[in-house]
This record gives sequence, structure tokens and C-alpha cells, in this order.
Amino acid sequence: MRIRTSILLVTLAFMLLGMIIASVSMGYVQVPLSTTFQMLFYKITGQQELLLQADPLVYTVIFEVRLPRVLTAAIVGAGLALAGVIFQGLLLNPLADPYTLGVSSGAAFGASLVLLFNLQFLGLYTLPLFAFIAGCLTLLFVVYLSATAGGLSSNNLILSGVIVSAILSAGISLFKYLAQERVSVIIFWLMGSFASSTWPELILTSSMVFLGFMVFMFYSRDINLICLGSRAAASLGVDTTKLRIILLITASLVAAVCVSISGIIGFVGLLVPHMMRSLTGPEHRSLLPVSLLCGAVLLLAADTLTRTMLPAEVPIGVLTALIGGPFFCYIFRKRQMQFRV
Amino acid sequence: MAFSMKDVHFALGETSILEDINIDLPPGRIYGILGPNGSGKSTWLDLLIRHRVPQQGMVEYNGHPLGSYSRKQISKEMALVPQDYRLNFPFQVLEVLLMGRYPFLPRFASPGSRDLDIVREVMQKTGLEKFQDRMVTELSGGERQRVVFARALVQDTPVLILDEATASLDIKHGLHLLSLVRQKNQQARTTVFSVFQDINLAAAFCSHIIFFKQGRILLHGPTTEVLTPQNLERVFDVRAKVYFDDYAQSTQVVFKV
Repeated sequence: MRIRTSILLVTLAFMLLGMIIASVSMGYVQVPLSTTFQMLFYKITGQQELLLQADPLVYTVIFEVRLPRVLTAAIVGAGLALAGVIFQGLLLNPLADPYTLGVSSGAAFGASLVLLFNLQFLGLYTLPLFAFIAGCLTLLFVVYLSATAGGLSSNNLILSGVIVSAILSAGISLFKYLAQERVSVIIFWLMGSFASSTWPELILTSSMVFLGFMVFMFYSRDINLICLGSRAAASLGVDTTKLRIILLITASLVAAVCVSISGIIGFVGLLVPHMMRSLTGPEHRSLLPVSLLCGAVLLLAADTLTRTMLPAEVPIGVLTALIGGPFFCYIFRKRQMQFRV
Repeated sequence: MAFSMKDVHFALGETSILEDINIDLPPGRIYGILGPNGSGKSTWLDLLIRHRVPQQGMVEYNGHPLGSYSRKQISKEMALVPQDYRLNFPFQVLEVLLMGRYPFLPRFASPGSRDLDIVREVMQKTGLEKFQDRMVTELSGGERQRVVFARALVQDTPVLILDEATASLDIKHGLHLLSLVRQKNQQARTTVFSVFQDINLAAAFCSHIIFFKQGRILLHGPTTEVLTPQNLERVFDVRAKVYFDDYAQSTQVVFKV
């Protein structure tokens, strides 16, 4: 059964908005919903009298601590979901995800390197930058490994991604071993967290995700055609090699930026496109915006859960894997029984 | 000439796939492509639609180098029913058929009434109407092939390229789709290139035959002239009898096992 895209979009947008407001109010310092509304109104309209009634502590909590974290969680969820949609479409495999290509392992490798040697020459940006560069280099190497005289095949890409990921994981393990007393920093980063999100990081991430979204929407129809195989896509007017390269690079950029900000968060990029496809169908012009919103809602919900409701803060990467993993097994099994392709 | 190839060579890495291809192909004919497995037939079709580009030689379409056409222009000229189509995603049959109209739509436009009319006409002719809301992932292999075939018909191009397009269809649907193609050829002078494994189907359906062997065009010409026992033995290394069948009203071939 398919649901109209417009209805789904509006529903998800309201859910996201509601979730943002609720999440900002929740936490160790409880802020009444009415105060949150006033604060957000003040930021949007600039009416000073709204601010005068409020406690300065509440102002700081909302704007310096919670809002950056809440928005970062949402935008990372959106970015991972988008990258998932694109990788699944490109690899012709509804069960592929952003991590299949080794981008996240690459980014994690870069980040571990920074953490191990305590590099700080670019200040706050050292780690995201290294994660990002390593992620992109990994992708280039994976593409180089899988490129044959006949072009890029999706099976080759996945296989190369797995091989390179295995090597990088071994490298990360070595770093952990070498790190000795610093090992906890690496491990915690790898498990993912939004606890230290700041405005500059948020702006960087959201501009990359927005840029990626624009590129993906521009090519949305061509991605539909790629889903039919490269020969068919070529005969329907798509320059398949060029499109694959553009989309792989853009999707990896988006995924690498997300990983570099938040650590490794799995399953969002895999589950969200899968769930949304069953509601809207695989048409990418609908699937992309709907997945963006759903990814934002889901990851924000998970982050709020771990931040406010659980007795101790569980790393977000662990939480998403614990919830998402079994859920994914269920979908996967159901699929196996449905289609014997 | 619809297509003209001069001294075309194509290799994948070190392996030479096609050699010394020299051929002029006038429009409006139905060409049957025959040859043993691995003789370069599908790769040759790839050169026609510029999915692959030869390392040497010249491919011309309507008197201009094929390289001078944009991807979009080519997709308005030629439609392909590939052998290796993928339908991994749960698109509805109607959505897949509408993709055949993408080359004619501006990037962000939705299909217009003319596009929908064409799709509806093709669905009716190919008997896919009852499937239109079904997901392609739920269809059987033969039904999927009919969807892919129909998508190429929706593209409504002057050139139609079929790569074993009826291989997994039952005989009724196979003959029906081929008769639709013949109709297009007669009414709109559509040029058709079709790879066959079934030599009798090719004999009944094609005005001309092109024989491939080991990456070369061994010979080509009107079906009645080139479909001879001697040529079949040269190409396929089998013994055959060729005769005119009154019931089928075409040349037919039987083989000695």
C-alpha cells in the first residue's frame, strides 16, 4: 500500500518540529514547553520582552547546549538517510548502506589517527577534517579497486568496500592497542555521540547535507533509471559512468561529514530508505525528501531517548545498532520470504 | 544509411571483442543478429547505442559520427531491450513504462497527457493493462521481460534494439511482441536490430541477417540469400536443412542432431 508523498511529507515535518521542541525542553534541567516556545519565538522574531521573563540559565541551556545537539542529531540522521538512499540506488541493492563502501571505516580510521597522536594543529576542526579526508580517500581507493575495463559494477564495489573496511578495522584495532590509556577516547568516539555538538559544526554539516540534497534531487530521475541497470539507463539517456561518479562522491561527502561530526552511527542509512520505500515506492523524487525527514526524526528520537530517558547515557551508535539491528534482521527475513528473485 | 561502421575495433582491456567491423546498414529493415555465444553480438549492440565506444574506427548514425550526438539525443533515436535488465526495486509497472518517456521530458516536468496516452496504448497492445499497479518485483521472469520490452516500445524511437528480448517469453507472448515490432517496422519504418538464439524465429521475422563469429561479421545480406546450409555450417558448425515452409510462409531450418 502506498501513501501519498505530500501527506507523508507534512506528517514527518510536523513530527520533526514537535520532536525538536519537545527534545529541547527535556533533560536534566526541565524547561516548561511554554518557555521553550517563548525562547524559540524570541530567536525568530527578536522580541526582547520574551527574553526578560526568562532565567538566563535556561537561555544558555537551550541555545548553547541543547539546540545545537538536537539539530545536529536531526541533520546527521537526515544526511545518513540520504546517503543510504543514494548508495542503495547506485549499487542496485536495496540492502546496501553508506558503510558498505568503506566510507565510514575510512573516516573512523582518520579520526582514530587524530585521537591517537592527539593532533590539534587545526583546533576543533582537526578531527572532522581528518575523518573527512580519510573517508574520501577510502572511497577513491575502493572505486579504483573495483573499476574494470568495463566500468563500475555494483558487486565489485561492495566487495572492494568490504575488503578495504576489513583492513581499516584492523588498523583501528592497532591504534586502540597502541593508545593504551587514551584508548577510551577512541572507543567513545567510534561509538558515536552528539554530546559535544557546537554551532560551527552544525553549520558545516547542515550546509553539506543541504548541498547533497540539492544534487540528489537534481538527478533524481536519472537515479530511477540507474535502478534498472546501466545498459537500460544508458539507452534512456543517462551518462551512467559520469552520474555514478558524481553521486558516489556527493553521497560520500555527506556520509563522511556526518561520521566526522558524530562518530559511527549505523543502520539509519540502511533502515530509513528501506522503510520509506515501502511507503512511497522507490521513485526517488518522493523517496529523497521523505527519507531526509524520517532520518532526522529517527536519529533525534534515539538521541533524546539516550540523553533524557535512559538512566545512563548509552552511546548513540550503540543504541541505534541495538534497536536497528534486530529490526533490520526482521525486514531482511521478511524480504527473503516474499521475493525469491 | 542508418548506421555505418568503418574499421571498427573494440577490446576490453587486453581481450579483443570485435575486429574489422565494416558494414553499412540502410534504415527501415529488420536485422537479425546471429552467431555463437561470445561472438560479440551484445557488444556490437552496445556500440550502436554508444554504451561502449570503439578504440578504433568510426561509427556513424544518419551520416554523423555517433560521438557527436548527446546521450539524450541518442535516447530519442534508439531504444534498447537489454538482456541484463534489473528490476530490484518495487517500482510499479506503470512507473517503469513511464520511464520510457523520460528522454522526452524536461528534467523536472511530470509526464503529460501525450506521454500517458502512449503508455496506455502500449500497455493495451502488450496486454500489460492488468499488471499496471503491480510491483515489478512481484512479477515472474517472463512478465518482467514483457515490461522491459514495453518500456522500449513506449520510447517510440526510429531504431529499436532487441538483445534476446523474447528469450524468456512463452511462444504466444514472444510471437505477439515480435508482431508488434513488425507492425512498427511496416508503419513507421522503424529500423530493428535483434539478437536471436532461435534461428527459425529470426528467419520468420527478419528481412536481413548479420552473422557474427569470433568478433567479426562473417557475412550479411537478405535472409533468403544468406540463410543457407553452407553458411550455417560455417557459423555454427552444425548440419542443417533450409527450406521454405508453406504453413509458416517463411524460410525455416531443421538440424541434424
